[in-house]
Amino acid sequence: MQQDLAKRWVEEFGDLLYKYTLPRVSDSGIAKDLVQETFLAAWRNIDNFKGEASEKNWLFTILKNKIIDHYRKASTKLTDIVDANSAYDGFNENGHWTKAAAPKAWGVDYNTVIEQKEFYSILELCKSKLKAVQNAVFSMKYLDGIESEEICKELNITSSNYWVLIHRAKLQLRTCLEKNWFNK
Amino acid sequence: MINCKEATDLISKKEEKKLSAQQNIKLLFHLFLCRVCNFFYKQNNVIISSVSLLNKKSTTSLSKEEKEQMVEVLEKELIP
Repeated sequence: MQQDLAKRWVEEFGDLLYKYTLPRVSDSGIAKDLVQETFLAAWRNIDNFKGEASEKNWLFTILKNKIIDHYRKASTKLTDIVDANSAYDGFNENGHWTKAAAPKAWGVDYNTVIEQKEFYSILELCKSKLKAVQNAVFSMKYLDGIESEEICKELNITSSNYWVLIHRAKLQLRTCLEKNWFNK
Repeated sequence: MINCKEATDLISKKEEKKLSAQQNIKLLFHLFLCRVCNFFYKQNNVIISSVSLLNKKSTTSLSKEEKEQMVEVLEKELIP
């Protein structure tokens, strides 16, 4: 009986949970761990599941909490925050773009480029290069649509930290995307 | 006149609708004159609109072995 339940859960919900987690943590190993921990937590608390919500919703609630915990761990390391906030060297002292960092013309139709599959693989790659705390803030804002004040509260970071983290993340992503997209 | 670094800061703030009217005008004026920041503005827009779609574009699944492993881990525990 137990075996059937475990098998059914993993078959029915494993991929769903994984597909939800992977874009949010940008690391397949971490995503797998979080999904495993979710199943374990549910397994151990099965007595508390009284069927008010569906199994799927219950598992997702556990997963979402695990993801937030993961984000919180990333944002407690002050040195990581400082690192992620440290000077982005795309500008010189006069506030002009440096030659190396200045955005170039992409020569694409900006409206249709997002429909290209390769664009997404490069975007995923570039997102995975963000510092964990940057990725956390970025994912919460753009994947989950959470407001900045809420993000600051959840992660226990200041709003000025938030601003610099998200701004630098955007600069980095754009640079990375340009480098990898156009050096084919 | 704002510089490019300031312009990129304002572009971020504009996205969160936290620009004053005066800042907005300064930004628009800079974008009117600066080709490079225009690239940044458009490219930034592409990135933030496409990131939210990463949800749907996620195509990787767990392998058969990975799933079997997960089942094993659960089975090793006894339901209390």
